Amino acid sequence: MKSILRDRGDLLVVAGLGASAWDVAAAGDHPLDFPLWGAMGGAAMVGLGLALAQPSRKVLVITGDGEMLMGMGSLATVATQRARNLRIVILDNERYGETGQQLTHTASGTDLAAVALGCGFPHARALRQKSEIEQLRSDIHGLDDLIFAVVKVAVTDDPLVLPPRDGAFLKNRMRAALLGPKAAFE
Amino acid sequence: MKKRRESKRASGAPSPNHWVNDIYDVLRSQKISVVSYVPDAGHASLIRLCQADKQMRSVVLTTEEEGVALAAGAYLGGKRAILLMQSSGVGNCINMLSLIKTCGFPFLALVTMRGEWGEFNPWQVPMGQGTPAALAAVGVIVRKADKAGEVLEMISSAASLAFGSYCGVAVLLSQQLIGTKTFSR
Repeated sequence: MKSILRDRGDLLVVAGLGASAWDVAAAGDHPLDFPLWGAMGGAAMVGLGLALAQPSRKVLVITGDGEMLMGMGSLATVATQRARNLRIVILDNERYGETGQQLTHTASGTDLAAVALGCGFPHARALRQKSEIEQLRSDIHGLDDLIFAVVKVAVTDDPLVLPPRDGAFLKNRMRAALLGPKAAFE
Repeated sequence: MKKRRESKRASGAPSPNHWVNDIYDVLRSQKISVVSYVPDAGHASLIRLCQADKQMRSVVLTTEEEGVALAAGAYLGGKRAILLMQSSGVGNCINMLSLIKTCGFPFLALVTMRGEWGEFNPWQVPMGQGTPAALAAVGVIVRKADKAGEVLEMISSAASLAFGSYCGVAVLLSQQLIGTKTFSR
């Protein structure tokens, strides 16, 4: 995660609930992060809304396989809109991490990159080596097109760093950072 | 406020769409620029108007809950959204609406009702009858327009409430208003 978010600049980040949100927090909680604690299945669409509202900013959705599976239909919606500033990165450990490490569908063959391509994404990549991360990071910032990437990750016991839980705080913090102090009056 | 003449309605067919233009005018005046929907016949005219509007982005959804998350994301980015759906779609939104309540996002939905007025499709009845309670159960304020003449003020005040007071508001357009669907060609 630290590699993906290195030199993040003015990147906007939406994190799906669970390990993705913890990992984004562990990389350093930032006003332009919106970590979800619920709304499972909604991360990609929150990212799409943000991307459509802010077409000149790059928007990165980082989420887990379980969360993305719950919102699989949204990949069709996202691809149809073809927001060129939107990036969706899946941290795929093939597990439901918060509920006892039960296997998700990606453990038995569901290929989210193939799903994305089938939904109409212009391209989709699956990363299995750490060495591939740097190209992804570079494309997140530099590529003028919709990106979908599945990063296959091991099941590890990472130190737990929690982002803020207060949704109103997170909303207002991001709006203030993105839109300035006038946002509080709108 | 100019009083609009009630539109004459042919039996079984939807009435001419003065109230649709009223809704569209409110979307414009309230600067709603993201319009998401799973299409419903009752929203067809409004969807066409929004699709033709260069200031609006129309987003077709695979399921209605996507529109809830979309509206939240748009608001984070400083834009206003509306979700157009049928009462059957309300049932697909319930947990995603927790995003609205938890974070205090303004949220506006327009719901065409089924299952309540001359409905012939039994599969529409449970969610048609359950819509007001389902929305209220997760903290969405519910308003209902039964007559064409009520629509303008209803949607205008609902938008002001949603965006001014940071709450979720659903305006239900009654089946009587929309016109009962008939399956004859």
